[in-house]
Amino acid sequence: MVAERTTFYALPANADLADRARAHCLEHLSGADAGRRVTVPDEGLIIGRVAPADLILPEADVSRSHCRLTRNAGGLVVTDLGSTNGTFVDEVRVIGSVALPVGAVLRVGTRILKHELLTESQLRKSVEMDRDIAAAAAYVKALLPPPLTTGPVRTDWCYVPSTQLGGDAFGYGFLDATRFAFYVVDVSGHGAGAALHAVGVMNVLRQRTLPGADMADPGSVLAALNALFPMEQHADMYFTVWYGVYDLVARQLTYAAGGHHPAFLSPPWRDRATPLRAKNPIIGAIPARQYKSESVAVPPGALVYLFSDGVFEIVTSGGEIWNIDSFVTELLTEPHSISGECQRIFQAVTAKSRTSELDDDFSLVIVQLV
Amino acid sequence: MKIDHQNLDDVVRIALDGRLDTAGVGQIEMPFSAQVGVSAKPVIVDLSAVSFLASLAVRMFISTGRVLAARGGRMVLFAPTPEVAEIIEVMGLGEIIPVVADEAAALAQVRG
Repeated sequence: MVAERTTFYALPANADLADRARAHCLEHLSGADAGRRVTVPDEGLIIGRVAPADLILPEADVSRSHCRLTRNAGGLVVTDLGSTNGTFVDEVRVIGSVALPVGAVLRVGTRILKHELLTESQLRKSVEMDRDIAAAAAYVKALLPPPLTTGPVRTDWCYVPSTQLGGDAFGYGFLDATRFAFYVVDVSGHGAGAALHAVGVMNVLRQRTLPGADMADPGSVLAALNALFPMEQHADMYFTVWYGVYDLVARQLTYAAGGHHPAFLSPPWRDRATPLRAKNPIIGAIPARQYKSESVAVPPGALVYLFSDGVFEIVTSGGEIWNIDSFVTELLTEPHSISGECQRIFQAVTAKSRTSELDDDFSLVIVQLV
Repeated sequence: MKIDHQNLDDVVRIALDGRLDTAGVGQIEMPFSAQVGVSAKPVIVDLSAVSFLASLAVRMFISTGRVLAARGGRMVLFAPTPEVAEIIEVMGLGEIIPVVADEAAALAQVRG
């Protein structure tokens, strides 16, 4: 019966087993430098508006010598140098010297920097990225919203693009006084094209310019995205999305997923995580598809974790293939405050991975519904 | 990643073996599209030895399936492992390309 038979073999690429020494870095989350990282040397550095500051932020609201970062055994310490407009750690004004934990957000004037602890190869990666990829990654990063550290909804996030750059994007914001929308998008494939497609999707969500959609109705948002982004008109790229709207008064979260794995809802004491599933197909593949929403009551202080598949699709150093359940187990260990939690999880996942760099973008957003 | 192509009497049978991650798709996308997209016969794709399916692999199936459909052909995927079946389920891929439990069901679908 067999008329002909052809077999192709291909070998896997070499795994990266580089050493895991880590460096303390500051990542710009705002301004023209968004996405750029600065390593904090052992002797520390001074941030100011002009030389001889080591890290120069040429902004009117930054003092000539604004603050100093020093290293200690535990990490970094920030000292305000009598600045006019103040130095803030997670939006608390620094009086004298305070610790700057990994994952904490440092604000100097209007410039926002995040403390990260990265491996040599993660650091090298930003240098190795080619120009187009770096430009696309910077574009995505420039559109990501700053963490919310006060108010009825708090957020923290970690976005670490892979060397090839995936198509991850996410965002959040208040639709009106009582409704808060948040979402994550993952475009199929890699490279600047996937990232720019993600930017296109993110822009219609940010600017709420989605034809025919009620932005407070997740099913209607997904149906409108599906109509606007058919894959045959976008280089055969489709995407997955998880989109939720939290009603602060009703304490109700309505959500829908288009081909995306569930987000997880956890009580503040984090003894369990409930998957928020609302299964619908990927966006862009089936014309005129309807998308359904689900909803859930939200207990005070609950946390919602939303993320891309890059956070759990890893192979461990022991050769084990991780899955979403392994990742959720990791989420529930070692309760910390929300600030720094995303960084802790990123470091934990990276430490487990066979390679010191992850294959895909790592995008994790934690939303606390106070 | 390994791709095995059998030209049977009334159907083309493709067996994929390995991890269909970004690198895996890069390795087999050309031979897969070349063998499936131009097939004058229906195509069945054995996923039983595929341990992982990245978004790029799903895109490869959808794109190739569309090329085939445009020429009046069809493609059926069969025998996904539980891990791959979970990914297919979450993405709703079954609404776009038929996915069935085993080879007999795949043959029944393309012949029926």
